[in-house]
Amino acid sequence: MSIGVARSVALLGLQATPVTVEAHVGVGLPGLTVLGGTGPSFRQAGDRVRAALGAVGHSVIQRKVLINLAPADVDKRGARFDLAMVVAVLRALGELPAGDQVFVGEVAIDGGVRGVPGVLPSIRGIDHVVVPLANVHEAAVGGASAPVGVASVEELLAILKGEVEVLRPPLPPVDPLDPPPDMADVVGQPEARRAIEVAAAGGHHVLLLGPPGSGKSMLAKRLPGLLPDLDHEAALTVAAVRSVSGRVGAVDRLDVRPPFAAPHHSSSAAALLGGGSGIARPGAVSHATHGVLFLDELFEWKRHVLDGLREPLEEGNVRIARATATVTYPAEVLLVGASNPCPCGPARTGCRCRPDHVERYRARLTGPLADRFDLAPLVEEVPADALAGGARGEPTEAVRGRVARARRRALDRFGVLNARAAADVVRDTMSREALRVLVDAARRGRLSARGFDRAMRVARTCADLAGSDVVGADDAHEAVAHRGRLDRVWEVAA
Amino acid sequence: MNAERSPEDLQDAVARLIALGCSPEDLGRARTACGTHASPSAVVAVLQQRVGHRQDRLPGLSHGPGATGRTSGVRPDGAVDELLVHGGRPGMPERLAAAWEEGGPLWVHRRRIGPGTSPRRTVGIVGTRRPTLDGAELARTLAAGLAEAGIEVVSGFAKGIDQAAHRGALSVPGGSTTAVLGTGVDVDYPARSGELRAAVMASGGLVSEYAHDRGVRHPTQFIARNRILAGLSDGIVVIEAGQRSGALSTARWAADFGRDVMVVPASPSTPSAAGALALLRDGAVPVRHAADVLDVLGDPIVPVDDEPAGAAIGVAARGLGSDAELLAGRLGPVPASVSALSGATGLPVRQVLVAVARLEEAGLVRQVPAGVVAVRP
Repeated sequence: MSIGVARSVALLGLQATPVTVEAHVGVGLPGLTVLGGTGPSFRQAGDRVRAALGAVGHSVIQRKVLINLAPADVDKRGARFDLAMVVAVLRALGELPAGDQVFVGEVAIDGGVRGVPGVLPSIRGIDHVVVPLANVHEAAVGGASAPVGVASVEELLAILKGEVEVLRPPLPPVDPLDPPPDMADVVGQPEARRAIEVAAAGGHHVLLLGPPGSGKSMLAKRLPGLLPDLDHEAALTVAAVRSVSGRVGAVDRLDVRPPFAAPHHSSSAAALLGGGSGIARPGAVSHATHGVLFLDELFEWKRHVLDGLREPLEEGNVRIARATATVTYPAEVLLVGASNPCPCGPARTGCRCRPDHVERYRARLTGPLADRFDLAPLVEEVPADALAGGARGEPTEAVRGRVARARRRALDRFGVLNARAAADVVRDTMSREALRVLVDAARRGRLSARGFDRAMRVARTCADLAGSDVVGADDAHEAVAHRGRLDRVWEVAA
Repeated sequence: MNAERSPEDLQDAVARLIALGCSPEDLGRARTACGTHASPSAVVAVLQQRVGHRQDRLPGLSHGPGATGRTSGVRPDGAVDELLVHGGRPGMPERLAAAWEEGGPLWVHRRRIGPGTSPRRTVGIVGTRRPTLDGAELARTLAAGLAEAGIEVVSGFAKGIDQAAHRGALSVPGGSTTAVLGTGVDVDYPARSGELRAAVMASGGLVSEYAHDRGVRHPTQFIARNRILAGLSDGIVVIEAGQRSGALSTARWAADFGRDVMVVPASPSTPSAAGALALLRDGAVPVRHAADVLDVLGDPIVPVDDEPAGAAIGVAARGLGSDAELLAGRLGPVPASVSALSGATGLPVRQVLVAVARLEEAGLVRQVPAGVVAVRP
């Protein structure tokens, strides 16, 4: 009677739970039974493990093998436990010494070892890990000091028995990242440029309004470049989301650039917010965490999908419940919406929509949806001669510097960006005149109750960009002007 | 066959024809057959011949106006339905009857609450369904000015300029306004105008040539009602009409009937005013405000403040800072974007935004979907 033990990790969303794999190899009716897991890829794990063991000359086909994964009430799915099972069986057979390494990986029936998703969030904080060779960079990014990458079970055996030096292959040369698009490419558009700058500096959500082809997407794509580089923790979170999303090898370095996600307007709620059967997978809002979520053709999105964004925007994360488990993914996004001012997307010749259609289209901007946004600049078509003239706008680098200074001021003062600061704390930094401007605007019906607080935060950011500690009347005026198209139903005559 | 009928006889005959389902389209065909100079009696005779075979439908009265088939009477909500027949009794307003030979209607239904007034003068205000903010505002103030001078405002109840005019007239205590509909008076069109409909009904009333339950069957209905609108008015004021606007047909009918056609000039860069400007080219009289309209109609002139809106903004902007003053000079009824203003004045965009908010605070400008417009103080 012999028992072998190996450590592994189960992953629920981005939440890692240690799992112990116990194997018992005894005498009895030949067979291999695995206890304690769920899901189709897990169910076949026993067969894969037995074939792989046979391939490396340790056939257990004549033995009675029992494998148990503990704790039993943790949801364990996927093929990631294969490697630990192989090691546990071999330890039970006395082929390998006991050890406290953590094993994550899938085995092939010929004894090979294949990469799995979600390695990065699984091994955070663990030093001795053995992962598939395909995941070794990811493990290094995740902070493991000495990750061991193995390409086959044979190699694993050799390494664990100490027969060979652990090969530490140098990180493969990574392709240089494409340079991010530069604001210098944006010609004209002073209003939209200013709004983007304020949005970047304060973390405010912005809605770009303008006819097709005027450059709304172009502006949105340049917004991540204005944000400062991610700190280590944020970069790891971004990498973790990428890691669990499936593609093996998606994480080959720690990318410190803020992410940018632009899901199509036909996307489902699951694609935007996260979902899927069993354990929900992260959606676009989580892929854009600490970066920019760009929703083009905002009014074409299904209403219930957009409504689902409400909570994540407020709370900075998205919780998705399934029968088996509830997972939480990060969702700290800067939301950028874009829309045509009317359903037809008017060309220069003017719009030919029926008035009630326009009215209905614009009515979608009011209410809860409009409340999410802080700035709504007009993006205009740039005359062709300006484009042909090769005119350039202010480059990203210059704007980025101003944004970074403003963000630093806000973080030093509140500890969070202005958009996330508590209303009463922000109010304390307002001058009397600035408050009067906002109160006056509210009285005129230009600001709703929620719009008031949001305008206050935008004014705070305008003051930060101007480098002043107290929010002045000018800052409040600017904030009100930025909300010009948000708080009131667009006038559609009489 | 051409014997002239007595007013009572004519009234009865028309009521009977309408009960048989005789529509304005039938009338149009009959008039084409009779020639333009035929008398109402002659046209009625032709209609009787053509529609007479529908006699067998009489018991069910499925085509009569309203469920009861009544063309006149008091309704449960207190409104009174009247059938006004040219040459009949009680008869049509004189102005409308005078349009008969040029294609005016033989009958109209009128529904109103209360006795209504008999105004000295009526002026029609018409224009696009999609006016600029400035155009709608103009329609409102012009109608209010006319109503204050005791003039009834007639319009077509469409969204946009028409409804703005009705509202303007109703905003003055004792102001009177009549709506000429392109549908039956029972039909709720355009949608979501119930409140205004009730207010107009209590004022000058709703007028329509169509059976009470007639919905929107064909766009020509609205073109056809324009001749009634023009016929009811001493003069027509066009505010912002596009190249193909129905307001232009109203102006044409008004010219045919020998009524004054007036236009409030707009900037040539306002697309919704292209048709109105073309009318000006063709000889329509330009008017600025209610006093000008009264002058054209030969009414005693009410003194009005003659100061143009632009100058007023410039004056009022003083004291809001030099940026605001600079911008005020550039703003007009045509929307200008913040970006364009920044480009035109050379001011940084932040300063433009601040100045716009200041001007807005003072009630001098407004942000609309397409940019910033000046508002008449």
